[in-house]
Amino acid sequence: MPLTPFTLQKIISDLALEEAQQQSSTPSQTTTSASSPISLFHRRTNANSGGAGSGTRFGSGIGWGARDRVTVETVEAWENNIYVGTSDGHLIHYVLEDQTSSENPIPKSYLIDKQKLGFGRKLVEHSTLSFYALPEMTPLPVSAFPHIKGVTCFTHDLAKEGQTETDGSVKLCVLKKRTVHEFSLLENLVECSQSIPLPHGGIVCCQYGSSLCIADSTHNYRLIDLDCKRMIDLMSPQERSSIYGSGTFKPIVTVIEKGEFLLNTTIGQFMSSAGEPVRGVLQWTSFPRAIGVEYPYVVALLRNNTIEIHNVIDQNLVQTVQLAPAEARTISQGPGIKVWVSALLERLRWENGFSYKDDDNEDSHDFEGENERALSSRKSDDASKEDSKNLPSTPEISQLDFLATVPTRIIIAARDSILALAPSPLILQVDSLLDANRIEEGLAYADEAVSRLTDNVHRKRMQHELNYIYQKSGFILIGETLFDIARDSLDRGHTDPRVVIGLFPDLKRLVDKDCSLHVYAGVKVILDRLGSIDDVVFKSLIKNYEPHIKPNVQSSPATQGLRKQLLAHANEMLQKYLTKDRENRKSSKGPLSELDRNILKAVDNALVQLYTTSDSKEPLISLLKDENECSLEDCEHILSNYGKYYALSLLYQSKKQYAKTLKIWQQMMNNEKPDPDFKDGLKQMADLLTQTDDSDLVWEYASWIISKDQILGAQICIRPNLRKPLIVEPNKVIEALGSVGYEGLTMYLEHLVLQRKSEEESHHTKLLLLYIGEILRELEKDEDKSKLIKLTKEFQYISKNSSMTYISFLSNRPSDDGISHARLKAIMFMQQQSTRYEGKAILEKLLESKQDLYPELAIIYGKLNEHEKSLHILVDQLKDYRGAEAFCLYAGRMIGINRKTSELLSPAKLKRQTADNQRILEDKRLIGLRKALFLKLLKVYLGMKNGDDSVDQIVDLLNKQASYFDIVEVLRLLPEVWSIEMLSEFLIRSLRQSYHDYRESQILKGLLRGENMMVNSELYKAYDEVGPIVITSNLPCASCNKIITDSMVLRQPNKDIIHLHHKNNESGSSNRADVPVEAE
Amino acid sequence: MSNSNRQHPQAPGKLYQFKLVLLGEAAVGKSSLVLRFVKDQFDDYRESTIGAAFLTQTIHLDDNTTVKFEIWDTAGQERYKSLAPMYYRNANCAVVVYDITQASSLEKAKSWVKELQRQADPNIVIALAGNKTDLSSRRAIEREDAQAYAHDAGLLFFETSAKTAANVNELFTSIARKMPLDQLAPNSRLRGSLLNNKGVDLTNPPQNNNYCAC
Repeated sequence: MPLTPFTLQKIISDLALEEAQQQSSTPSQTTTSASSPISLFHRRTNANSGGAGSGTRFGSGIGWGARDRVTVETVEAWENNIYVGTSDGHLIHYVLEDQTSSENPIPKSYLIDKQKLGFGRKLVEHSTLSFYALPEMTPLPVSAFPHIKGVTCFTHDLAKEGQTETDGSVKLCVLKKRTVHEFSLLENLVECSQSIPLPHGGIVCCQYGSSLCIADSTHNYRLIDLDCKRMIDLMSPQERSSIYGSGTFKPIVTVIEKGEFLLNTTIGQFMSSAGEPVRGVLQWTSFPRAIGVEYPYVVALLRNNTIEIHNVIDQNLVQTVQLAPAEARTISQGPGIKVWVSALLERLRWENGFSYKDDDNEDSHDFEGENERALSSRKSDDASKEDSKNLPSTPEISQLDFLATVPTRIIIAARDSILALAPSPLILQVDSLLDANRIEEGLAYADEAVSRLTDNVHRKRMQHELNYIYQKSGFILIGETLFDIARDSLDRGHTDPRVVIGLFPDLKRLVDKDCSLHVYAGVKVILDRLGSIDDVVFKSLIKNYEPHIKPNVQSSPATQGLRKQLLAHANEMLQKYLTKDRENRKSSKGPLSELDRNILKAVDNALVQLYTTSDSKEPLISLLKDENECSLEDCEHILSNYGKYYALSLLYQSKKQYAKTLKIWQQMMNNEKPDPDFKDGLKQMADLLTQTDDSDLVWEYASWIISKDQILGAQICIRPNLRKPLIVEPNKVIEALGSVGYEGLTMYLEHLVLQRKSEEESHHTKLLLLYIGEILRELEKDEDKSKLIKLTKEFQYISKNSSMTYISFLSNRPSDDGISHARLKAIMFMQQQSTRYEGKAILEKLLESKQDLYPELAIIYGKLNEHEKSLHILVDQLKDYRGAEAFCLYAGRMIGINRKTSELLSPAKLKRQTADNQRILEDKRLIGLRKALFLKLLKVYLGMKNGDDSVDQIVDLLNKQASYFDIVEVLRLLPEVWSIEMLSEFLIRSLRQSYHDYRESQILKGLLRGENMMVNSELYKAYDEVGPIVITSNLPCASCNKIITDSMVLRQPNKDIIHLHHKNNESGSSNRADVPVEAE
Repeated sequence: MSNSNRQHPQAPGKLYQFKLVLLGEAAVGKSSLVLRFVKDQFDDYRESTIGAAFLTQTIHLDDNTTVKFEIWDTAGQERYKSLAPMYYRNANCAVVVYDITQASSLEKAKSWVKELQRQADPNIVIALAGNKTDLSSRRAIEREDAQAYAHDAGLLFFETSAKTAANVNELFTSIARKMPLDQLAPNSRLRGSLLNNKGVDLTNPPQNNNYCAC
């Protein structure tokens, strides 16, 4: 079936042409607003009284029809205004009302506004172009808009249809006998912007961009480039008479699309703006009187009163419309008026999507008697439909308005009526195919239309039409149980998923009835016919198998099975459809609208039910895991009924009902509600709990998890974001963790102490005790009970040849040495990370362990200020001489820290002590402490039994740390027997040091003295300049006006003499501005 | 229309587009030749062409070269003669057809060739086709005479039969081969460009116009 792209609609009938002459100057009642002041409009000249070939744009009817009878000669439309030019020189102005009802296919209601314009008289003067304001055709003042005389034809730039130039003007191209003029039409004047000589003139013209296509009366077509002012010949005259018979011909030039003209001779030749013939040719059965273009169609009004419509793309004739004899005069192409197509309304009207099959909610869907019930329910349905035909609300009315009106650009002037050639809606043509069950053909047309869909005035409505077609096809296909193809159609028709869900009796309750749901009326008819999906399946079985299956379709096991299968297919279709719709809706950018939310809610709920019943685990889980619109009430029930506890818990989680989620998880872990999908339960609980801020809830489950997995338990209680407070009271956690082991506790305490910098001593102590416990455990683990001793030996061996301390020795141990690492951790903590632990408790623990943890002990003793003990341990037990030195250097706090770390640490420390003074004090205190400690160390060395070793160490110590030793004291301590050579280096250094100090102080003294001299000299100079101040016995004080009696005076810079005590008062009480009053 | 680019970079080879115009006296079989070439059909009774017809056909010269002909099949009747310049103005190649049974048709063909050589693109490739060899019994023009003329005028020459399809494809293929594919001057066909260097300069019209300058 070929589609007819256009429908002829009468928009004005029975034009009162004759009356126009009598009813002159009726006051205008037009109500349409003139939105644009631009009076760009085509002149309608009327050449009735002998225009003598002065080309008029619409003058193709000249000399036609009865001369004694007034006829329509031309028509133009602007918005919903229609202007009709008559053969007696009148212009009739009609305003089309927007239609809101469509009882009659020919709209009746108009505001008719007839005006007798002084048209005839003005335009009888040949070929004059005058300007009028739309919509009422008010003549514009001739002073600003002078008439343009000698005009043969004119055009505006069709590329700028509906637009203006950047300066707000509209360009008008006017042809005169020998010239082309470009006029700029501004709001308040018209001016000629350019003139080009044109040798041959022209009687028709058409402009697109800079290309102007013209033709003269002898059908010489020429193309002019207005920018570079060049012209080429396109086509030359030919002998026309032999083709279509004699008669006057008028050349026609139209624009097809950008840069393409259609020139009309005996054939229609498409011509590019470069002057190349393109595309092909059009052929008409008769010579066209007028041509209109509604891309991709060319509408030609022929002289034999037919309209032939060609498709531009393949140049085939697609439609022919026969008009009454001698009726049509001309075609006009306007920016588009709205024409009401009632058939559209019948189909695209929105109806409430809920009313169908509402009453069989309670139906049990057993097989018996389904048929009768389906029939009866449909009857009651019809009744309910009548009831539900409520008055449409306001947005629906505007929707109707929009959908049922077709913008029409092509208007045909008939003898006494105006016709519109409206693009006939695809829907009307395809709908009949669908009704005849020729779905595939219908869909093919729709597909083709989709591919043709261009951005124009029709697009939005077309989209509705296409939606309608696809939706209707989809539902019809569902009726034929062709679910897969149906799904595709529904998808392409953007079918509201709620409508599809509504087909499924066990799901329809999920559609929220409070939110509006619209269905095209034509689609609703199908929906009502379908009933529910059960009806569909049942009917299909009856249709296919009824007479053949024994005993009958209802009870045969074969059809029972088939029925089940079909229903499963239907469910699968729904599932796929909803999944896809959901994806689309979710992926669209921007926030969800209320409607989207409502739809998603229905979709998500339905999907949960579908996934659950079809046991599709993964999609179910992933749906619930992400953000979803499921409603608790609807999904809770089904999920727990089907034992999908994990899914249920995720549902709760997505709804932020964490208590319920956790409860279920706990139950699942305790095997009270087993669900095999639930894996890594504790981990999931922990993940959830770490994100929760409800401290009671966290503690409830954290304490439970701690009993299962202390590490996870600890992790829950740890909040990595240090700016946020801990959610559970630490001591509670410590207690719980402490009761189950040490790993979790260690982790938790480390978090408290190291990251959160806890100031509680107990935390530090506990952590350190845990570290020590770890060392002890490691020691116990090791079979070699003398491991520590071996380590010490090894260290002593290595340290002989290197300046290694015991700690750096430990830190260089291979990573599989658990003991050393545990020890290093404890030592680092004791030395660097914490100062708050209780030394005594630790000391007890260490002594209790009966292990030779010497460095640890040394640190603790240092902490307890028992430095001698520390040094003894370091020197006697460990022989860690470097460590001992470091211990002294760092005033008992650190033994053997690497130089690098100490360097790194010290500036940080310095920074903290911002005040310089304090730092100096600290330094002094440190130096004092160092001196004392080095002395102690020296004494320890001297007390050592191993002579050789100690001598070396003493000499080494003295040599290295000479500056900390008081030479007198050292000499007193050293054994008398020691030779001077041994100590020479130390002695020389010490002497040099003291001599250096002495010299330095001398220099300093000298410098200070010099400085003093300079100040004195300044002072003398000042005195000299000021001269003596004489105080007489009756000199009053400038401040208190009392006589100055004693010598305690002050002279201000302004030379006022005041009592000295005023100055003191002043500086004490007044502001700083007064302070610089100082005696010179 | 997107035929502005002659060479498409896609596909293994290159696609060349050529505008081809068919000229010749009425009823020598221009449209039939095109119909045979494009659709491989033949109608015994064809209505005479009105104005012109437009068809396209693509042939593969070799693996790397594809030639698309945009064929303007002009009407041969005298009254349409004035349209012809529009079609041959920017044509890359032309087929001038005569009827071997009509002596006058060769004369007409010669005049077309002359007109093409005078007014069309100087690089145009012209083929002379003597059609209707299936009617050789009524032959009025000897092959040798026509061939000699073609040789002198520098034309490709074929005797063809649209009815039997003899030499039809050969005719178009050899035109395609004759086309200077490699050195096609880029301005041999101005597409989409405006009339920058063509036509009459309106601001400075030539003085020898034959209309009165009033």
